[in-house]
Amino acid sequence: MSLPAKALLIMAVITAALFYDIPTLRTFMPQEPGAKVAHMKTRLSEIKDLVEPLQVFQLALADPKKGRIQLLMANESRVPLENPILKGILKDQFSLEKAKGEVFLVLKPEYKDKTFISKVGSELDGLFTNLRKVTAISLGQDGKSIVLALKPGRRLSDLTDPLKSMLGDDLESFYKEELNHYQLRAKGLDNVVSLGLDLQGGMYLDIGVEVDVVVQNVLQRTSEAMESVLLDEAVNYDSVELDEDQNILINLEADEQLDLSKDIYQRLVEPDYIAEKTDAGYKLTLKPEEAKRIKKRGVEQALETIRNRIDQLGVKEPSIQRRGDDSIIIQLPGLDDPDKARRVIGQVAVLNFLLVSKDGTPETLKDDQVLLYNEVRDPITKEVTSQVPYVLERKVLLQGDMIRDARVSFSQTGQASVSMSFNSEGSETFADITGANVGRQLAIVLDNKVQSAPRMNEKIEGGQAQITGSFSPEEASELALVLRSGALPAPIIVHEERTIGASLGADSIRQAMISLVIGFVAVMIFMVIYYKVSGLFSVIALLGNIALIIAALAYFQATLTLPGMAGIVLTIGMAVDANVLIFERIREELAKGTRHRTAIQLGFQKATVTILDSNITTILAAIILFQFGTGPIKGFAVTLSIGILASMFTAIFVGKFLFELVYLTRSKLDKISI
Amino acid sequence: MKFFKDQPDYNVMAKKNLAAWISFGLIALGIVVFLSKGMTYGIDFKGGTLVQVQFNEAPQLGSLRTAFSSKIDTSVSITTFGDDVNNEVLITLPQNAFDPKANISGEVKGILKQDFKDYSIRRVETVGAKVGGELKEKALDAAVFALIGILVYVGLRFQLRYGLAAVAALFHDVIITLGVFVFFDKEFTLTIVAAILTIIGYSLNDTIVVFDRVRENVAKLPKSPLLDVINRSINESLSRTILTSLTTFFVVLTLFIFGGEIIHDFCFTMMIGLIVGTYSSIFVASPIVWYMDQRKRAR
Repeated sequence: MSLPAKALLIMAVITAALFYDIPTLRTFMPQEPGAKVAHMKTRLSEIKDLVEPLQVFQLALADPKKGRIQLLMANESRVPLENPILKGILKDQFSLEKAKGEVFLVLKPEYKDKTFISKVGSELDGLFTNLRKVTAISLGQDGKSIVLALKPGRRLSDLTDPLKSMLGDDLESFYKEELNHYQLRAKGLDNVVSLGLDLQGGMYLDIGVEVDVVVQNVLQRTSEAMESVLLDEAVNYDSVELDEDQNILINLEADEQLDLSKDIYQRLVEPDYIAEKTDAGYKLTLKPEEAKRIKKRGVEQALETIRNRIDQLGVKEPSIQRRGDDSIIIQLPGLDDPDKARRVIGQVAVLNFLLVSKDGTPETLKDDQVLLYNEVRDPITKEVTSQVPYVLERKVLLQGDMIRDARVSFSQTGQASVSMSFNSEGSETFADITGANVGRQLAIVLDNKVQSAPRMNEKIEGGQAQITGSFSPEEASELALVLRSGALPAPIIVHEERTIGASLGADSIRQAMISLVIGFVAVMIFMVIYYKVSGLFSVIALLGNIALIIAALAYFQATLTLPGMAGIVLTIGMAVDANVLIFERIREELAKGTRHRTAIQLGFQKATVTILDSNITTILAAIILFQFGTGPIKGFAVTLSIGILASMFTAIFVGKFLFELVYLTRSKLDKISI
Repeated sequence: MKFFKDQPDYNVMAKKNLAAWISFGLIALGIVVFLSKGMTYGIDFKGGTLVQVQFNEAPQLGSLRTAFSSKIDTSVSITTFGDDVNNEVLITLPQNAFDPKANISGEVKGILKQDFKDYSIRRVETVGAKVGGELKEKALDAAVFALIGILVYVGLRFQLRYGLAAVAALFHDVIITLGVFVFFDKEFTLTIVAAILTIIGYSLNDTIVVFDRVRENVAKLPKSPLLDVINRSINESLSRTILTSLTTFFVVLTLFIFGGEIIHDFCFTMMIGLIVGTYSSIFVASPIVWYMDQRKRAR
């Protein structure tokens, strides 16, 4: 390859690398203190300029016949037709007219048959309604976000998405229910190296679902159904129960007969159970493949529920995946409040409605009764101070899966509670229950703890219920969140949890960067002292090497972890090895008295074989590390292998190019600085 | 600048018996230390919980221990972490300290709440028994696969005896490094596995460079005895070996000093491994090749 061709190739590679490097470096560079805040302040005033002029509008009345839309405004003010949000809806198809103090948008004649006035009108109306919900736009407390405060209990509807036009390309929004506002935060950049959880802080969870509990629940339901069928069929049975090996035992009374092949029983038994006759009656065993299917579905359901919950937490780029048969891996980078995330993910949130028994005491519990407690907590320390027993009827009247929505609400005294609305089926059931049991108490039971047991004073229609208790607004909002997203099929078990605070991550980055710089400078000085001009070549190659590593990481969207950064530092040490091998060979050749030009050629030629052999084995080790390693260690393996590959290119190719450029182009070569 | 004015000509192979004694001695010592002290596994492998807490003022370890032992039945280890100025402590709890469903940072906060204030929980790591077992298995798999891969590659590129010698040298490096590691009561974690594998890669790199020379010189000087050829090859690559080891050692040292507490043990292990690996590529791998060659000729 000719020299200019090589130069072009190297330039191309370096340019491509820089294209990926620069955004990455920008995120790593210690920013001027307050730069982020200053940027947010600019964005804040931009957003204010965008929104505030539109908040004077109250209504948009479309009049298709006259081809115009009337705008009602709070006060006499200018109509900002140049406003980008407005422009987005009107698309320059309207002109402004004022008549007798009234303001109209008149459709330009050329668009007459192409645009539906009423559609534009309703879009405008939606926009105005949405924007009037915004009470204040201000800088967040940390100065790194913008807060869009809303009127109590309102949320922006998606109709016109006015939020989108405020966000631009650099912000993303998160809704915070308990604070009743949207938070606009800086968005992550594309094509930059993303930081691992250990560097930016966050949570890694490997959880399992207690699948045996899921199976147990299914068996429980089947045995209850069987019991009620037996009752309907007037079969005298002694008991229907589960034994320890998860079999359903039907124990009949002496000299009672039961024919399980009858259709009514087969509906329950058939595809899933194997029925076996015993002395007392029957034994139903769940088929292994069905048990497996139930477990699998349990994990899937848990995954879905957890995904729902995490979506509502407002985490940037969460990752939720299944691992193996029974595990779920959750990665939540850059978390504000890991504690909360952990609570929200882990709560089972099975909500049941049960009647409080008319009679019965904890001591004389009957078969159809169940004893549950209401935990009274100290409002400040949150410790359980007392447990109030409730005797409830065992039958579950209504379950949480019929909830359509759940929200925080506040009483007049300011006490937070959770309001739920049921779906249509749930509303009907709820109306029936409340109608049939006026005067009795209905217990709301969450995860087997009585939350409250209000007295039903009348039939409640419309499907609204409320959970009261001594909730803080945050607790109420968390409870509303888990109820909205549905119950977990069973409790979860934590296999592995790693939570790193953001401050620790920042410390780690700083420390690794310091090491990187010091290590690099030390090696650089050493190489220049030892090999002089050639040493300088190796330093240039080393710089190129680092640029390539960062670019490769950015290109593959790899995640940079702390061990990964150690890998880069280590690569710096090892990358010079290739240079050293070449330079030593050249020195050797020179010592033998070989002509300078030939010495350079031979040095590169002979060293290349050695470099390949020795580096391939290291890459081999790195690949194996990658195969077996988890998160951070994978990161180490990735940077190490990329580093080695890049070092081969920079040392052999770029290094040779520099020698050719500086020495081999000379007509008379009698000295090499090495 | 040069380490050696002229081409060095040390009779390295003459010291091969001494080297063998040193190596066997160190390996034996390593095994003794290993057997007598036993490996301290970190939570990655044995399961358990680790909480890193930073206080605003110097933490009172005594009262922390009392607070934990009054709430938790099992043993709790509480130590300072990193530089004293950071006011950080590391709390290590065994696996059964909390319910597997518990929200651990919540529980820890509950314990700290009453007696301490102005602290922040910087890191929580929990590994259950299931994962711990899996990780152990994977680590072992990785080591075995790495060794097999190396044996095959070196065996193919050179000769089988070179592959065997390289792998033997690696065992030598790993055993001695782990011996030192155990001697200093370090905790064996996943990161240490990464360090060990990196040492394997590095030491191998070093060994191969020497082998490469041997291969070249054997072809160039077919009549010389292998002993001389090996000696010559080691000498020819000596300044490279020293130079690369030094630069690598430099950067690991900067990481060790400035890289922060979390990768401290990683760097420690790397430094030991670098020293042992450099020694073994000169004094262990090549003599083994010579020894195997002798055995073959004797037959």
